[in-house]
Amino acid sequence: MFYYVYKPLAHPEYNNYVSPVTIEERLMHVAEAKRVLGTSVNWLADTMDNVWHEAMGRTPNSELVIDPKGVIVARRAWSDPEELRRDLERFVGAVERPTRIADLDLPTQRPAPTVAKGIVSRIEKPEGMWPIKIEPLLEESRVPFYVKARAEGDPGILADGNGTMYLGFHLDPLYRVHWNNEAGPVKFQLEAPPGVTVVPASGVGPNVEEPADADPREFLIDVTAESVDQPLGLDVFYFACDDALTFCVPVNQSYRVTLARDESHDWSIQTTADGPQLGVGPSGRGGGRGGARVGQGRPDFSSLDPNGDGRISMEEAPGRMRGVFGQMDADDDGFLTESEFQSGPGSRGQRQR
Amino acid sequence: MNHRPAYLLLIGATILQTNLVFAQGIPPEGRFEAAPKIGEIIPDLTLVDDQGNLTRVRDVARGHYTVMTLGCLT
Repeated sequence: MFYYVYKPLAHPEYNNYVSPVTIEERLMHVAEAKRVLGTSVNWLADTMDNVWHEAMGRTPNSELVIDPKGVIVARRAWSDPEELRRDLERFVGAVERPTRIADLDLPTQRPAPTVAKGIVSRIEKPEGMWPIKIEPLLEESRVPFYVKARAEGDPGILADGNGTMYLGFHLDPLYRVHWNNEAGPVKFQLEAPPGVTVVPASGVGPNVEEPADADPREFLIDVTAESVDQPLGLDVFYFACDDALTFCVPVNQSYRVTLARDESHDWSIQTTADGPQLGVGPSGRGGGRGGARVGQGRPDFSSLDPNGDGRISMEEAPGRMRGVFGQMDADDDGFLTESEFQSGPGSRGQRQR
Repeated sequence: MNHRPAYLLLIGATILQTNLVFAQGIPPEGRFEAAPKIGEIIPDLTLVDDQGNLTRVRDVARGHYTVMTLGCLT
């Protein structure tokens, strides 16, 4: 039997996905993963306290092979299909005709349609930002968290609570909702405990002429703290409509923000003049603004096109690229032209869609 | 109806999905040292199936070879 175990998002915000806050939302992610992958493989969801992810050392993509008695017979920090195939041949037996990826005819679906539209400009974060702990107060809200607040801290915040904090309000694409700009912008209020100062302590999103959009609303907050023992309170007010226009509601929701690194995520998203990029955290590894990026180390187009036909097929694409092949293939013809290759995810020309 | 072995679907899906994740400051290989080792019984933990039912991992794995791979949308 084969199971994917759905874990916390490694890179919240990548492809506009935001972290689920309830197990029901995590199961929505599982359904979305099935849709995106087009696979019938079984899925299990980790619990909201991430017991399996923790047991696996918070690895993003580890893999276990377990025998019928429940004993682990193979393990690896990174899933590797070829090694897994060899494991299975050793434990279960070889198949006469191994199936290639191309044989599976797996559709590579695009991400959820409700995505940022580029109407509201993204802010450029300071270097070395890393997700910090932010907990939605679920019991105080009568409606889902259509908007998910994300918080990140710069190295100063992570060290002793003094530095710059990022607050981003991101529509959850799985709810198919948008900002109702005609009703008014998002507003937030931070409540700092004694010994902590935040500037600004409140904020209002931009007034947008477009009646609706799905862009994040982002703010940078200066924080000075004598202690990081007590969390900050965060209240958020916004108007949301679903894309089918079956409802438009005012929403008031609250969070608890702790000035400490959230270990369940791997990377921050760095927004630069070139658009959102995956970046590393405060370790500084990867170098440069935003640290390492998806596109670092990307091979030349010609090296991926050994038959010289001027396009890259799924089979020619290296493993890392296959996961975003569908997004890169702008005309959905099953091949990447050099233009699509150069403008795909992780490239300097990428823009969030 | 597709009668291909299910694990081949997983292999393909693994390639498609998991290559979206990349190493962080602390390499996963290092963090994985804390995970259960070969020869150990899998942890007695409870997960949630796609219908929302609580499911013991040991029940899921009993009686057949089982592959469990961590993944997510990003």
